[in-house]
Amino acid sequence: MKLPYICSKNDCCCRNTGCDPGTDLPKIVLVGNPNVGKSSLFNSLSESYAVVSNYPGTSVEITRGKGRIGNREYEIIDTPGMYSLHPISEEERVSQRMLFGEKPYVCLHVVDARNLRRMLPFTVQLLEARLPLILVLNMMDEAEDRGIEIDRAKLSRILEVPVFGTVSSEKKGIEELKTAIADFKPSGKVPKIEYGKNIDPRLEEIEKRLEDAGNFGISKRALGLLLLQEDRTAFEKLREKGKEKGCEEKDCFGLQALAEEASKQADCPLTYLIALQRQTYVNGIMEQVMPDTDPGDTEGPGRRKEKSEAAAKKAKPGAKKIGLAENIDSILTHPVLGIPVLFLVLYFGLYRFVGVFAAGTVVDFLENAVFGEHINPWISAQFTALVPYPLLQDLFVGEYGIITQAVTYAIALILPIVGAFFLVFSIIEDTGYLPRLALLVDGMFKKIGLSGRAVIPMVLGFGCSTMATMVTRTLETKRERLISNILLALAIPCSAQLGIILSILSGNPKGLLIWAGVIILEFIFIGYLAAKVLPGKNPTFILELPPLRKPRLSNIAVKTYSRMHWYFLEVLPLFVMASVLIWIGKLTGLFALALKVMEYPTQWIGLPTDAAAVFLFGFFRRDLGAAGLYGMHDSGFLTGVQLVVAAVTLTLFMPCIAQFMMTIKERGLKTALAISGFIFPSAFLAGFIVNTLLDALGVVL
Amino acid sequence: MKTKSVLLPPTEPVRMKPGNTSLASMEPKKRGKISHLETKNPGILQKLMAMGVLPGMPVTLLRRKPSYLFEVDQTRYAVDREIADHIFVSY
Repeated sequence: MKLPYICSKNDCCCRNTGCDPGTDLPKIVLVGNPNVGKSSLFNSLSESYAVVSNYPGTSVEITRGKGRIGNREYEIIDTPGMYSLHPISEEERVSQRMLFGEKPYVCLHVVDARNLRRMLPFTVQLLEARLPLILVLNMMDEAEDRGIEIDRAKLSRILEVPVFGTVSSEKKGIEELKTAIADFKPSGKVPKIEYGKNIDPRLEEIEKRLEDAGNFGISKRALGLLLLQEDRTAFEKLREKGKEKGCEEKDCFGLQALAEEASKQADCPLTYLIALQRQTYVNGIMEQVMPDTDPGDTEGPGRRKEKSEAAAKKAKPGAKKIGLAENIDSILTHPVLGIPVLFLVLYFGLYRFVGVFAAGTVVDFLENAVFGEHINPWISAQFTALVPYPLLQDLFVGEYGIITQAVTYAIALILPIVGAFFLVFSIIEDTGYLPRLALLVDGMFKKIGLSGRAVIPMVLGFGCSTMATMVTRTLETKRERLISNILLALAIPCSAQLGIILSILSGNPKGLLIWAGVIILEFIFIGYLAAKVLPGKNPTFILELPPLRKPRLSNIAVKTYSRMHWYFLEVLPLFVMASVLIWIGKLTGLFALALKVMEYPTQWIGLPTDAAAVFLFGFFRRDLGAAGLYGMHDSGFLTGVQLVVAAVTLTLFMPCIAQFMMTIKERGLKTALAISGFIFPSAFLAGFIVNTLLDALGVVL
Repeated sequence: MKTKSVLLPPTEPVRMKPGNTSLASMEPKKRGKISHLETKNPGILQKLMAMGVLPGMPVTLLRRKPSYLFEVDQTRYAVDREIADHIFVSY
C-alpha cells in the first residue's frame, strides 16, 4: 500500500517500484518490527511519502526515496516490517533479501520504546550480522506515559552503537538523529552470545567451511545461524555462491547436511534454542538499562499493584489517557458489545457519510449542477463552434465523450465518493480499530477459510480492491491469499461502486436490504465453498494489537490526499480509454454488436435492453458501470426491482482492469483468468436468481 | 495435529508439570509466567517467538471470547484457540 506518487522532485521515478533514485548514493535502510513507525520516520527523512497507519503490515513493499542530511544526499529505503532476520511471511522475506543485498551505509533499527525487551533480540541479530547500525527508540512519548524509563547512554555503551529516542509522528528527536547519521562510524563490536553445545561447535564449523566463500552481505556467523534454522534465503545464497565457484551440486559446502544433522540431534527445534539464548542475553542488558522491570516478576497482585501505582504516579499526565483507551478497548473487543459498535461504524461511516452525503448530496451537486448545467454545456458549445467535425465532436463531447463522460464521471462522480471513503478509512486505520475488528471476526472468518487478519484487506477492498489485492500479501498461507483474492474480485464492491449503489437505493430501504443480503450471502457461500474445495488447512490467527491512538489530522489529510491522487491517476486514463474504444466501436459498428450480445444476459435477468451498456462499461471498470447505472436511475428508466437486480449483478461483476492486473501480479495469469471466468457467469446467475425470486414472490420495490 | 491439540485435556500428564496450564485454560486477569511453548509445529513456534512470546515472560489473559486476548510484558496479542494451546503458563 505504498503510494510513492507524491514526489516533490520529479526525478524519483514515481511509478516504478524497482527504481533506484540514485545508484551511487549512500543507503539508509529502515528496518524493524511491524507498526513501530518506520514509514513515519521515512517521511521525516526523505522527500517521498509512505503511508502511515496504526496496524501491523501497512507497508507491503519497499519504498525508496531521496533525502538530504547535512550537505549530503542519501537514498532512504523503507522496508515492510519484519520480526527477525529469519522471515516467516513473504513481505518479511522481501526485507530480508534487501538487507543481504543492499550494502547499506547505515541501518536504522526502529523499535517501539515500550517494547524494547521484545525487540532488542532483533537488534542483536543485526549486530551479529555485522550490519552498520543505529538504534532508534521510537514512540518515546507512549513509553513515558507508561512510566517506562530507559537508560539510553548505558544501552549505547553496552551495544556500542548510537541509540536515539524519537517521536517520529511529532518529528521529535529527528534533528539529533540526522546529525548522528551524518557523523556515523560503524563499530566493530559483535555481541558474543553462547548458544550451547548443539549450536556453537556447528557455527564454528560453518564459519570455517565458508572462509574462502567470499562476501554474503551479512556475517558468516549470522548466515550460519540462519542455515541452522534452515532458512530458505540462506540456502539460496549458498547455492549462488557455489555456482560462482563453478560447483553445480545442490549442497556445495555440505552445509545442508550439517544443518539437518544438527536439528536431528537436538531434542527441540534449534530456532527455539537460539531464540531463548538470545532473549537471555537481552534480559541481561535490560536489567542494566531498565532496572525497574523484571520480566520474571511474579509477586502477588498486591505487590504488583503497588508497583503499577508507583509507575502511574511517575507518569501522571499519561495515565489518564491510558485508562480511557483501556475502557474503549474493552468495549471494542467485547464479544457482544463489539458488534453494535461495528454496525455504528458501518452506518455512520459508510452509509451516512459515503453513501448518503458524498454519493448523494455532493455528487448530485457536482454532476447535475456544476457539470450538467454549467461546465459541460459551455464546453460542448465552445467545442462545437471551434471544431466543425461531427466525428471529433462525438469523441470529445458526445454521449460517451471524453469530456462529457470520462472526465465528468471521474471528477464529479468517482472522486468525491472515493475521497469520502478514504477519509473515513484513514480515521479508522489510525485509531487502531482494524486489529480489534480482526479479533472480533476471527471465529466467523474461519468458516470461510480466512483468519481474522484478512479483515484488513477486506475492509480496504471497500475502498479500492486493487490496493486490497496487494495487501493480501500480508496473509500467511497461499490458500488464504487465494480465497481473499477471489472474494475481493467477486463480492466486495469498491467505494465508488458502493457509494453509487448506496445512494441509488437509499430511497428504497427494502431494496437496499435485499441487495446487502444477497451480497453477504454470496460472500459467505463462495467463501465457504472455496474453503471446502481448496486443499490445505485453515490458517491460524495471531495478531499484535497496537494501542488505540487518537488520529492525527495532518496524517489523515496527507494519506487521504495521496490515496485520492493515486486513485484518480489510476481511473482517469482508463475512463478516457473507454471513451475512445466506444468511439472506435461506434465507427466500426463493433459497439452496436457488443451491445447486441450483452443484451441477451441483460434480458435474462429482467432488465431493459438499454441496461446492456452499463455492463459493457463494467468491463472497463466496475465503478464506470455503476456510474452508468447512476445515469439510468437519474433518468428514471428502471423500476425498483430492476434497480436491485442490476445493483446485485454489477456488484458481483468483473473487477476492473486494474484489479485484474494486480491479481495477475499476485496470483499469476492462470488463476486470475480462472477467477474472472468464474465471476462473469456467476454474477448473471445471481442476478437471474434474484430477479426470478422477486418476480415469483410478487415483490414490488 | 490440530484436532489432537484441541482435544488434549488441560491436565495431560505427559506435557504438564504440576501447576502448569495452557494459556487457553488460564484464569482470566490472573498474572502468570510463560513456562514453555509447544514445539511440535515449527511455523507457530517461530511466529510466537519472533513476536516476543517467550518462556519467562509475564503473561495475563484478558479475554477468551471472541478470541484469546492476552498481554505479555507491554504488548497485547489476539490469537485463536489453536495458538493459545501452544503456550503454557505457570502461576
